[in-house]
Amino acid sequence: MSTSLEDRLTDLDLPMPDTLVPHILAQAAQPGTRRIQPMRHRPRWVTVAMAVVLLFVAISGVSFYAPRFAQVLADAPVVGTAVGPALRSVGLAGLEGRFTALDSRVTSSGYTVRLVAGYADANQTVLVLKVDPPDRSFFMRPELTDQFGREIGFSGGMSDTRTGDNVLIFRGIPWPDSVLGARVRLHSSVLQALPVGQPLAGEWTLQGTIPVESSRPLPLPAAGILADSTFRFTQVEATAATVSIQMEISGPLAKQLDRVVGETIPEVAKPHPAFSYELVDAGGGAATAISGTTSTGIGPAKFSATWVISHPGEYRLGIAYEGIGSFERTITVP
Amino acid sequence: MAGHDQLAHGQPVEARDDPPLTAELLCARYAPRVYRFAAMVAAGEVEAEDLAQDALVHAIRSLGQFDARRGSVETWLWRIVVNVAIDAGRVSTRRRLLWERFRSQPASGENVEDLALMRITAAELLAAVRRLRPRERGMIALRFGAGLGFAEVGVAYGISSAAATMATRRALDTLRILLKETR
Repeated sequence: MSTSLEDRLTDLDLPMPDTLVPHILAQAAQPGTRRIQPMRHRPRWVTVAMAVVLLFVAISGVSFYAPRFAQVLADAPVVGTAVGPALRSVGLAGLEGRFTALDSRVTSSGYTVRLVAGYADANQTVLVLKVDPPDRSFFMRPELTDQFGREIGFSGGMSDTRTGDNVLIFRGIPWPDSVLGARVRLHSSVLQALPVGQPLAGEWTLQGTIPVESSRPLPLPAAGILADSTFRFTQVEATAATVSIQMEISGPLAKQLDRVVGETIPEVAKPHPAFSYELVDAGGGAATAISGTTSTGIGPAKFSATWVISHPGEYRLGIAYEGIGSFERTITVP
Repeated sequence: MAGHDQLAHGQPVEARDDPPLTAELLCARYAPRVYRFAAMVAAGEVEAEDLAQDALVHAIRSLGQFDARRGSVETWLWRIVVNVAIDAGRVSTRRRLLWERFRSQPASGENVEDLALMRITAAELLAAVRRLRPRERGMIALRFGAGLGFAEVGVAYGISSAAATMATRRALDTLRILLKETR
């Protein structure tokens, strides 16, 4: 039997709820009314569980839940050049020197995976790993959890099947880890060769304790105006290695932040976002953006972005919308 | 998909003897396909129902503005649906991050894909579709959820048929990568 991806998509069983059409007709018959959104409460058990966890943290004081204060972490060396090449290959050279050395290793199915180093702040968690032998070093579906069992979403990564170097990037460490430090657990059950190859099943679970870089708020720049839309800064923060901003956008452009412009010319050009942003240091060097997120809905749109920086100083933030205009603001990182 | 077949052959849905387009008729003809589209682009079942409801209510309230001389019902309807989907607030993430590196890896051969697809459940496939970027999700959902042709997908997004074909193909490539990751 041959089943293409297209066939599977076409055959997906997605039955319409019986209540949908009656709801549509009822709502449409009431001009000007907005659908009442069902309230989505936090389940009571979640609240209770959070309270229990917080209480446990408060009274336990053990290093497992507060690894930042553990002696093991106080003595951890900071990795310097050892991870440099891997970081540079994914544009994270600015984080070099901010890593905590780790040495968790596990062997399964003949492949040894070593957790070499880790870095974490409120915006991203970066792990550097080494796989030996290196021919299958692409992690399929890596899972990262913290000491509270919370999963930290995977954002992307790099794998070099010649050297076995891996850089895996996850989302930021949530509260209260960001205060306490994070004891993370990385798990994967499949290693893969690239570009294609037979998946290798195994069980690789590694653990490490990473301090979480604290961030400090910076003064908010003045709002920018493009056409009739206002770009208002709501938060600007810096760690020793990153700058992150958050903005609210109101006006006509708020709903067009994801607009794509330009034509597709095979092998030559492809459409690109109309909304763009960059952070440039005083020497004209562009900082590496490691995330940029827009969200739109009821009310102002929101935009947040994070860049890796290599030094303190003045940075120029450029915000542009193709065909409309641009504005710049200065962000000073002390 | 009678509506789609008619559209594919260039015939407007309203023939001379067709009954006037009412809210009930619009829902009867298109609600299941609008919901299939919504189920693919939204984050979950509740959001899909919200999106389908918003889109069809919007269309019903705009029925008075529909002009059959300017295009078919389908063309008009799917533009509304896509615009509502864009406006509705699905959070999009643009990461200059490293997915591009993963994406650039060539897709595996068909036999491998066949084997992998046989093992993937419908829920896993839908979850992977929902992890695509909003525009990629939209392309996939219009083409395979709503059953539109590439020309109609292009019209809904305001791009050419060729651009829609390319964009859908790229979305499928990305989906293959995500499915490989799933497995």
